[in-house]
Amino acid sequence: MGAQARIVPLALMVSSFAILLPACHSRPADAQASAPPAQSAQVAYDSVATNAHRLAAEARGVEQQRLLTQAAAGYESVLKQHRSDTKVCLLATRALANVRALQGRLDESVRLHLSVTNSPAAGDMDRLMALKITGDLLWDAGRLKDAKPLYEQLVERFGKPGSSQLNQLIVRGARSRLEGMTVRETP
Amino acid sequence: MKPFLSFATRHFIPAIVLALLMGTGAAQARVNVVTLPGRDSVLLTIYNSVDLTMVTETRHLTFRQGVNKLEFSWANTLIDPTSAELRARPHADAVEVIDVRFPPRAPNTLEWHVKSEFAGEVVVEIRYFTSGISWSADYVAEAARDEKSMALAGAVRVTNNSGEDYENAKVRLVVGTVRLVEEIAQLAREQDKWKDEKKAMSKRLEENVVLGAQLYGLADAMGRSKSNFGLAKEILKESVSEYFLYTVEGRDTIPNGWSKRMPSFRAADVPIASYYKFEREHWGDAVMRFYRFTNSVAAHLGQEPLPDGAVQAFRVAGEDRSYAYVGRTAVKYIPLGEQVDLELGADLEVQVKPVLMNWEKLELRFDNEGNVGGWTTRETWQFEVRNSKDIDAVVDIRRTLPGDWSLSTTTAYEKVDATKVKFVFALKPREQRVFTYELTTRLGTAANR
Repeated sequence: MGAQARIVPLALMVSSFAILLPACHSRPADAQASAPPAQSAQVAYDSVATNAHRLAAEARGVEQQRLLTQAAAGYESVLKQHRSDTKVCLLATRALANVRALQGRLDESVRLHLSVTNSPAAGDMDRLMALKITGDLLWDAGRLKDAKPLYEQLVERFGKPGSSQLNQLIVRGARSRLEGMTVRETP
Repeated sequence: MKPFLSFATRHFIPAIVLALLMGTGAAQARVNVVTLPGRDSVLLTIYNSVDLTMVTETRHLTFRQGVNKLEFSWANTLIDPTSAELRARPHADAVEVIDVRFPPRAPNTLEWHVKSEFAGEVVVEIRYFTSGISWSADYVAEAARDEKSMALAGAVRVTNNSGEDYENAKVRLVVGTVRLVEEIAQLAREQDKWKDEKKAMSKRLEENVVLGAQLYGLADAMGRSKSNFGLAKEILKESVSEYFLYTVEGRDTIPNGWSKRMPSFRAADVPIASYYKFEREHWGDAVMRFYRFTNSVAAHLGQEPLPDGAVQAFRVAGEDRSYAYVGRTAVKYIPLGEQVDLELGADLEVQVKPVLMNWEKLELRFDNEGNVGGWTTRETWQFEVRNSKDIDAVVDIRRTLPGDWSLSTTTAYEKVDATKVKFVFALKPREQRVFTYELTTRLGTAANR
C-alpha cells in the first residue's frame, strides 16, 4: 500500500500512462485490413471479465491474487491485440484499471482511468465515469486533495440540466463529496 | 443470500444484488444490505425499426433506514448502461438515490446508493434501453366453409438476442412509423453523440407513445395520468406520425437466444368477401384467390391497427371441421378502418380459359408512298370460366386493352381505366360459364386517340 501514500500530480499521472500502455486509437487502413474482427475483441474481453475478473471477486487470499493477475494479463493482451477496436479498448482499459485498484496499485489504476478522459474514442459518459471512478478511488484511499480536482472537473463539465438520470446522480455524488470537503476545510 | 457472481453465472443480468462489502472503508459500515428478490414484472416496449427496446422492470425490495446499495450489471448484454434509471414507488419522497459508483471488483456494473428514511418494502422501478430484441407479427385466418367469414388470430414473435433473459415479460410494440424513432436511428449512426442524446430523445419518444395510447384509449394501460398529456399533444403536432402502441396480451418468459410466439388477439366472425382474380399481365394463366376484409369494429376487429406480418389462411373443408390450406401472404401495416385484400395464391378449382377464336386485319390505310400507315384489328375472344368448388365463387377477369379500342359483347363489363376492363361473374358451385367479346383496335393513322 506504499504506492497509495504517494501523491502524484494528475498531469503526471496522465502523461506517464502513455509510456505504460498504448492508447486506444484507430489504426491506419493497411493495418486495419489484417486487424482481428470486432467480435473477437468483444469475445476476448468478455472471456477475461467472466473467467478471471468476476471470479476474483468471489475468491479470497492467494486465489484472489492469482485471478487478479490473470485478469490483468488478459486485459493487457486485449489492449495489445485489439487497440484499434476503440469500444473494447476503452472497456479493457477501464477493467484493467479496476483490477489494478483491487491489487492495491492505486496510482496505476488512476492513470489508466484518467487515460480514458484523453482518448479521442471516449464519449462524454466514458469521461464522466472515469472522473467519478478516479475520484472515488482516491477518496476511499483518503487522498481527498487528489480527489477534489477530479470532482470539481466533473461537476463543472457535466453538471448541466437536462442530462440523464445517471449523469445527474454521478454529478450529485461528486458535488456531495465536494460539499463535505468544504465543511471539513472550514475552521 | 448468494453473492453477486453466483447470480451472474446464472445469467441474472441485469441484477439488483446484495452489495458485497469487500475492500470498503469505514463509511460503508453503515451501509445496509438489501434483500434480493426476483423481478416482479418486466415490460418490454420494442421499437423494432431502430433496434431499441425500453425495459421497465419492477421489484419489491426491503430497505432498511439509511443507505442501501443496489448493483446493476450489464455484463455480456446489449444494455445501454447510460440509460439506466432507478425510481422508487410509491415512497418516492422517502427514498432517494444519492450517488452512483462503479465498483472495481465487477466489470460493467454500477452501484446505486439509495438513502431511505424508513425501513420496509419498497417497489423499485428500473428502466433502461437495450438492443438485440426484435418482433414480427403473424396471423392465422380460418375461413368458414362458405368463405363468407373468418376467425382471425394475431400473434407476435419476439426474438431475444440481447444477452439477457426476461422472465414473465409483458410486451408492447410500437407499430407504425414514428418520426422520432427515426431520429433516434439517425442518432445511433452518430456514435459520438448517441449516448448523451438518446436519453433525451427517448423521453420525447415516450411522450409521443403516451399520446398514442391516449388516442386509442390505452391511457390507463400506460399507467399515465391524463395531466401528462399536455406536452405530448404539442410534440405530436410536430411529429405528424401515425403509430400505435400495441400491447400483447399475457406474459411470457423470453430467454436470451430464443424466439417466443405470443398470441395477441383473436377475432371471430370477421366478414370476408372471397373472390378470384384473373389478370394475365400479373399472374399469367393462374386464377388468384383473395380474401377481403376491413379492420373495423363492424367487422369485429378495429380495436387497433394491425402490424405488418405474414398471414396463413385455412378454410374449414369438412363437417368434421377439418381444415384445408388456402395459402399464405404478407400484409403491410393495416390502419383502423382500412380495407385489406389478402392475395392467397393460385386456386386450381377456379379456372379461366381465354381462347382467341378469330383475328383479322381490316381497313388498311396507305400513305402517299404506298406504305401501310394505319389499320384496324378485330379479335374475337371466348372465355370459359369454371367454378369447380362446392361453394359460390366471384371471379374478376381483367383485360388490358392498349391503344384506340372498342369492345362489343353481350356480357356486362366495367371500364377500370383507359386501358383496362373487368368482367365480374358470380358463379354457383360447379357452375361453368362462357362469354365472348369482340375487340376492335385501331392502330397507326387509323387510331383516333
